Amino acid sequence: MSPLLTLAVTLALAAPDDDAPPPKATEGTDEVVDETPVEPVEDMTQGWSHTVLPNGMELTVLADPLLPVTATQTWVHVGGSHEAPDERGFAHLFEHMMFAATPTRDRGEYARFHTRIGGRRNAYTSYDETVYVSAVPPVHHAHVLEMEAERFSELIIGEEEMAKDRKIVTEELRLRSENSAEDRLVTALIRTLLAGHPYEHTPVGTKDDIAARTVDDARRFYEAYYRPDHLHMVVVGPVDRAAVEASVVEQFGGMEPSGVMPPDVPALTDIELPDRVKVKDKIPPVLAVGLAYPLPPRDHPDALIVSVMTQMLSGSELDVFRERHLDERSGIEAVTFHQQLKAGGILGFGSVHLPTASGRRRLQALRKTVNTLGDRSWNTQEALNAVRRRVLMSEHFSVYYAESQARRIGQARWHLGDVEQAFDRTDRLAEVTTDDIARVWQTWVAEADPSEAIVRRGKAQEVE
Amino acid sequence: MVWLLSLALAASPFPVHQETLPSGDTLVVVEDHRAPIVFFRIDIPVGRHGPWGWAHDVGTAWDIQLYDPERTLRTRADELAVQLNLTPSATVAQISVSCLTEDLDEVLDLVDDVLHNTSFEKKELKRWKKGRKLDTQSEKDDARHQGTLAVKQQLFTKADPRRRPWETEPPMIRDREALAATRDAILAQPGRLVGVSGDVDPALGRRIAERLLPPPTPIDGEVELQYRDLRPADQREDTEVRLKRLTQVYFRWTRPGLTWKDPDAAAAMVAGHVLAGHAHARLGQRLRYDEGATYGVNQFGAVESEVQALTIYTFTRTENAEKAEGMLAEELSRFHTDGITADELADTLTNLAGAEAFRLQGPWTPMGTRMWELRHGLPEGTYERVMEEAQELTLEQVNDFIGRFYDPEAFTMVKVVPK
Repeated sequence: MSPLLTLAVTLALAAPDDDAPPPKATEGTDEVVDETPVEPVEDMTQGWSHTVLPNGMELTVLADPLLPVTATQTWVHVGGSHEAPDERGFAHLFEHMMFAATPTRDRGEYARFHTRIGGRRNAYTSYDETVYVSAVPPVHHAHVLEMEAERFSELIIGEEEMAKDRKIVTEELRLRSENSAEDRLVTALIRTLLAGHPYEHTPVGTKDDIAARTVDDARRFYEAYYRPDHLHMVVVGPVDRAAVEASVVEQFGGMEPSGVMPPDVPALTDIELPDRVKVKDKIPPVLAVGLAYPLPPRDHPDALIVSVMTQMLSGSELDVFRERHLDERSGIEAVTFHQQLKAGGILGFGSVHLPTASGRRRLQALRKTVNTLGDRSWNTQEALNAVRRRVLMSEHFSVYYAESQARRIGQARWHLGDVEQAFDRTDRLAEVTTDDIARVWQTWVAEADPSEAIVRRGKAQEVE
Repeated sequence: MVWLLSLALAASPFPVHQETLPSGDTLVVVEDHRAPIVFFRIDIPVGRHGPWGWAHDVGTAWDIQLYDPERTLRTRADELAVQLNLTPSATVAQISVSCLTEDLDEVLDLVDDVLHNTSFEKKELKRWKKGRKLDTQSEKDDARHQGTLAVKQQLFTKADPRRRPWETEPPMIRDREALAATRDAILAQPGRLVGVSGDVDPALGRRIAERLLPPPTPIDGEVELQYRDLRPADQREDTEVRLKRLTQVYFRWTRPGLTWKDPDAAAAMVAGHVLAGHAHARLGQRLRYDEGATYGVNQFGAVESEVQALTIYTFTRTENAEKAEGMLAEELSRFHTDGITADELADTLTNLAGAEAFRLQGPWTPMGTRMWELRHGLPEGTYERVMEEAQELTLEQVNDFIGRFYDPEAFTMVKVVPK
């Protein structure tokens, strides 16, 4: 993406990007774990099953004999947004620590094994979750499960290794958020726009908070959240479903749930965003302005329709807002931006201008264009059908890739509350009508009061 | 270890069909009917960085085609949910399309109309010109851009096309007739490669080629990239680039790499993997895991279709720069002197064999590999041959290569540091 477009996107509002850190345990929840095994939900035609172990761990297995690799993803339902205000970056730091030693394996052995066999492994921490990903030639899958079980139950947490990981994630933080004007702007915009909400800090956190975390913190975190009641494992590949289920039950079934619940993350729509935010940095000589509309959580009844609406607006080739704004007003560039996280999202409209332009007037112009979109001439059956086709295409492509299917399943379970929604998206889309689109436009845009953002070249604010 | 790779290749579910079309163009077909989707790509051997491409602004001429004042082309593309990309790369102008099988006829109509569009949107061209200027300004403060530019300037002389992606482009052409003429000339250039994969067959590939490509007519001008001799080693010097507001120092240790035709290509793959090819490779282990000095160490550009800048890249906090540079130098020196171990060689070979599984996930990968070979004049099966050669390498052969190639004296350093 060109720097200019980056700026436009940044401006169009700042929804946090994926990547990063950790929460603090909320003590004392007495969740009762049902000891009765739950019958697997099964769909033979799709070849998938979903099981909840007695200790609360969830397992989804999708068997496809034609896939050449087996993907395993372990979703820990804790991310950067669950962190305490003085622990920003902890979930991410701990994600790095999960590659430490276990009783039978040295630090780094998990990664070295994957490299040795030509597999892939990684992990990421987002605002809402931390995910451990593995993809290997199928013959090695059993070993992946063994390693996964060991590090989720017997990780060795020591000061020496933690000190190294602190340094490593701090270098990552510097790389991602300090050393380019665009990165600094994104960080500053998110922080000012979402101030007071757990999404205000990107998961990579802050240097001070990372430096302050101790081994005791890490052990407490591990005991609270890296327990079966916060885990969802997804396996996709040419596997024997029953064998995988039996193996997971054998290896993870003895783990005790913690019963500790992470703090609630309020919906973005439940907080009051600032009327206007201004940020500066050493960007090229331009003025960028934006309007940010908060959107409901991903499991809200309107979320799917909002997602369709934003796709109809921004298309893949033709951005309705951009074309109209650049036609009717002035500007070097304009863009629609949509970012959706678990607890809410942002729909943004932004534009870039010469530096001599007035921020206030450019914001007025943006509002006028958004108001003209209220004519809903873009809300046609053809445009709606196009979104359905796009989703269908993407689902057809994903059947070739075990990793993308695993991600879709993990996300459906955690963000939408139901694994099945990974498989019936086209059916649900078929039920969306242009009337639905008109309604959500009215609710979430026309009747909403957006935040305004102004970005200019100038001396930057200090970034922690 | 060869058996491991053989097993992987034998398991390939994607046989590649290749034929020469009546036009002289080449068709590559990889069928897979699991999903009702079609992916096709046309590579035309006219790039933006050859003399003709540079002078005619091939980048703009190829990019602008979807933009008509009425926006009908992009509207149609969205309605069909087609992914249509027109990419002007350094060496080829490329069309790539993916769509549902049932939409293919309509998609071909659309692509044909795009390739005949002559009323490019004026306002869009004007905006692109402003955007290009701002991008250039932004790059001046960008650590990644400036570091890479300095690397290219160390190895390649002024007019070498390998520097061009990082240098200021010539003035943008906005004359619509000139742009259309350039586009038409590109389309007709002989030597086109048509690749189709997915829910397709050879007949469909022929139909796509016939529908979209005009009869071949060579461009009157120098289209091929004119690679110059590398800057002599004794003229390369360590470079320091200073930028404001940095909190890290970025290191790029560089020397000329190899090509896929080089007899040392397989050894270079193995050596690169051990030195910096994965998280726990020599440099990653030392700088990241043992010392906490960095978040990552990478090596790239070792084996390419043309000699590129092999670059070992890492970064660290400013106050740790001297120490990190010392560790880099120490590890490279040790690598050069001692080579790799038998265990490291064995692990690398199992890695290369196992990674084959990922190349077999979709039919578009083998299609792309064959097109890559054809585009660069590489013999069929080049990639597989190099992988097989790697499996047969002895420890002595790899270490002999390392002794010749990884001499620290052959490397120069580019550092981007805080001003």
